[in-house]
Amino acid sequence: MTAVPPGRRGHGRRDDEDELFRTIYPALHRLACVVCPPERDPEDLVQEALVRTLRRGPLTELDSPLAYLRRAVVNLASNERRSLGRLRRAAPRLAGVLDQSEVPTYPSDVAILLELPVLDRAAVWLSAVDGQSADHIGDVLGCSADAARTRVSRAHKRLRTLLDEEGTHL
Amino acid sequence: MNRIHDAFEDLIARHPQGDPDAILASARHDATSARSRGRTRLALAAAAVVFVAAASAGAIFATGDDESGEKVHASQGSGSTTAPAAASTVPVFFTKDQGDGCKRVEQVERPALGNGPITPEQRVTAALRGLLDGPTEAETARGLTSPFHDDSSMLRSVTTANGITYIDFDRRIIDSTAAASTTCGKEQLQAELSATLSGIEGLGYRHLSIDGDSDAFYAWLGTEPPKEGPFATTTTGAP
Repeated sequence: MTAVPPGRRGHGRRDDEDELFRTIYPALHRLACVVCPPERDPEDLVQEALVRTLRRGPLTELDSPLAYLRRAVVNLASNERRSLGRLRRAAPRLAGVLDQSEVPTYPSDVAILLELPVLDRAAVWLSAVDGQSADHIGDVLGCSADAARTRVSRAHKRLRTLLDEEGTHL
Repeated sequence: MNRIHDAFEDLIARHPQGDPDAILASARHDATSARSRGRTRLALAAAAVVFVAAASAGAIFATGDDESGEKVHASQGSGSTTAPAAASTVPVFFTKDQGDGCKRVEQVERPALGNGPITPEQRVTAALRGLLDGPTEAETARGLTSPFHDDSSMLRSVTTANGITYIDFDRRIIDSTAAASTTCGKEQLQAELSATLSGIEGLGYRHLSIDGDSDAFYAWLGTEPPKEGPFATTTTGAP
């Protein structure tokens, strides 16, 4: 496996695409929940990732549609995070745009997860919870399997540091 | 580790799954619309290339109808091309609910007034003022909606330099388009603004800002700055 997004093959029928998306949607939705900024709806990420992918062709032509869509979701979440960063920096100039009351609050463990950068959060979840291989994690994060292993290791270390600061342990 | 596992599950459980069939159907619709717009732009670009190539070869043939209704053919020599006819209206796009849960932008026309040929700046100004003023009563009665309403004074300036069109809005536009603080409102605003700017002939690279601040504009719009052209950023959205 390589870090290059999975390629496409053959042609599929629309019914096959319907069935394929029903199959992969729960896994895609879960990752979107993990990487989505708290101010945003994960369904928006899934929808946008799907639109961008379908513009290029049917899902059935992808070698690994789940990995491809997951990578699109992670990219969009990273961009959303940067965009929201700019919005926060511009907040003094944009009084009234950001309604802080709409930003959800979370208990401390979830809040700690949300402190991790998007790619680290995705790496930890894909490895520790979803049980994915380094190859799949590399495909989703856009890096090699070796780089994915390194990312997972560093993300765990960072998470431990955050938890230690909170006085708790993995 | 169980604690982290539970935290992730807690995070996921806060967002119930949607209907995959509905999501896919909506995405197909959006993707098809985008491809169609792309093909139109490609066709226009190809036509422009053909036009320029023909002009440089010194053999332009224009076909039209004379007052008697008969076809006429005019041949022009090298270097004698004439300016395109001045557009008297510009396209502006507002949103219409299709009644099946889908919303689409629909084109209306606004006058572009000027002495002689209409310049690109005048076209941009006319289109954006038309957009910011929102739909007319008659258009509203037809079901057209917009987050903009009587806001044309929010357009501060339109200037062109070195092939780049600089469009600056007043910061009051942020408060006047409060609907854009929601996801739906932002999408509607983005769709109308994007379609209107795309519909303006001769508009190349554009720099959009609020009170001269480009970051403020894209933060208000909730989108990424352009990824191509002189104001490109290095981030990527799709794999």
